[in-house]
Amino acid sequence: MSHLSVETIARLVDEQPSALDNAHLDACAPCRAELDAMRADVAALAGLGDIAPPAAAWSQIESRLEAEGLLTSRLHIAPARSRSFVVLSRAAAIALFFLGGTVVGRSMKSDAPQVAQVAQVAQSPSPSPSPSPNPDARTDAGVHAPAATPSQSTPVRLAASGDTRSQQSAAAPRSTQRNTSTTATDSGDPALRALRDAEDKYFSALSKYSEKAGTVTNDPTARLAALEGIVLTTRAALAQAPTDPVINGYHLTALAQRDAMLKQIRATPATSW
Amino acid sequence: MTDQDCIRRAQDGDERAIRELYDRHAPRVFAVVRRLAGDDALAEDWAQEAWVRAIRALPRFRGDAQFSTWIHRIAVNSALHGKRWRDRRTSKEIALPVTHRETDQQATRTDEPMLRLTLQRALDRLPEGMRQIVVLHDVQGHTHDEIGALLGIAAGTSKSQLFKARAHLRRILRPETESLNEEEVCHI
Repeated sequence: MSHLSVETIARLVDEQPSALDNAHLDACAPCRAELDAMRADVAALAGLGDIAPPAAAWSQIESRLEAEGLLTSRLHIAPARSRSFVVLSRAAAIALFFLGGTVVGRSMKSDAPQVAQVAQVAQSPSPSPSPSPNPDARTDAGVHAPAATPSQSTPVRLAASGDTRSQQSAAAPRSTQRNTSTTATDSGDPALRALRDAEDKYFSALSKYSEKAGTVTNDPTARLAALEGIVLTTRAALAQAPTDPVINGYHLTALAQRDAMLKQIRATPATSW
Repeated sequence: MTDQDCIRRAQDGDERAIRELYDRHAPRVFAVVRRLAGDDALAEDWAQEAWVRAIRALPRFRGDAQFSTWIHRIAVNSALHGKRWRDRRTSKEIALPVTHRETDQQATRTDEPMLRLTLQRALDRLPEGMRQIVVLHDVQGHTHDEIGALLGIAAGTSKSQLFKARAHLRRILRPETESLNEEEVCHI
């Protein structure tokens, strides 16, 4: 007897099997497994969730609405949300700026080449707290996302503590470490020390993971999936705390990185969608 | 602020309320349009069309259906009409049955990002006609009668195309499925 056709199995996802189909399924484990797998696929399709539109989508819609006279002014449409969004984004950028400053300050103490690099960047006229070399990784609100790419995951030594860190892995939480012009110094603040200790542990663990994961972390699709997960998570968090500057900052960064990753994948012929 | 409050204010010309409606519903609109389009750039155009069209028609929204249902109709229509729709300055909305599955009412969600991406990529690789039917039936939850009305085909055609599309999708997702064909002897 032949196996059931794939089309027949697809039909049996929705319809009751005939007596003949049942008899076959009772006796044929591969066809039963295929039916179960097809049911799982269909269930997964039904569970596909929302997709965040590109960050710039609203501004394009806004322009068209203005052109049609459906909106009177760009300043009218956005102020309540966008203005506060910008403020919050700036607050998030400042927080990231501060974090990055502490890292750079520590690095400058113990790593001469790193100091030279930071000093060179510090002379840059750019006023942005975390300028990205990748223009695509910039959001509407002006917050720059770290420009890490999968190819940047070569571990580099950043500090005298000897921990080897992945540029890619370190990019998000320490987006300003190569760019800031501040020279943060150690303070006696116990909270700050605790934060640094936690950062050290985090990056140490991340470094070990990066070494073990090997090339897996360079898979753009895996990175895109991870970024999509972050976008979903931060969006859910924003629903709970819409004015939280830290969550806003992470959300914007994740959105920008995801969009940049999508563009990178689309531009790669080998990973045609 | 509820959707009803937002809609009322938006209908009164409150542009902040319009933005609020967009923020609330844009991910759902983009999801359906993106999956029907099978392409990011096209999806962005179609989503933009859907929103412009929705905001243009907002003063006529009477609240007979939920706003999410209403905007979903517009999004699906925009996607199905595609580029042809863009050339029109005014047009009537095609009435869609309102029985599509609301995403937030789904019992289970595909939360695993890798699985979501894998499925999305597989959907993108389906031929356009198959993709439309799979998206409308298996993702959005439309019935074959509704799909038939939307696409101008018989419900039976929608059904048979769905089974072919699922089989095609299965082969994309798991190429080894090819080995399970009726030519192979099943030892039972």
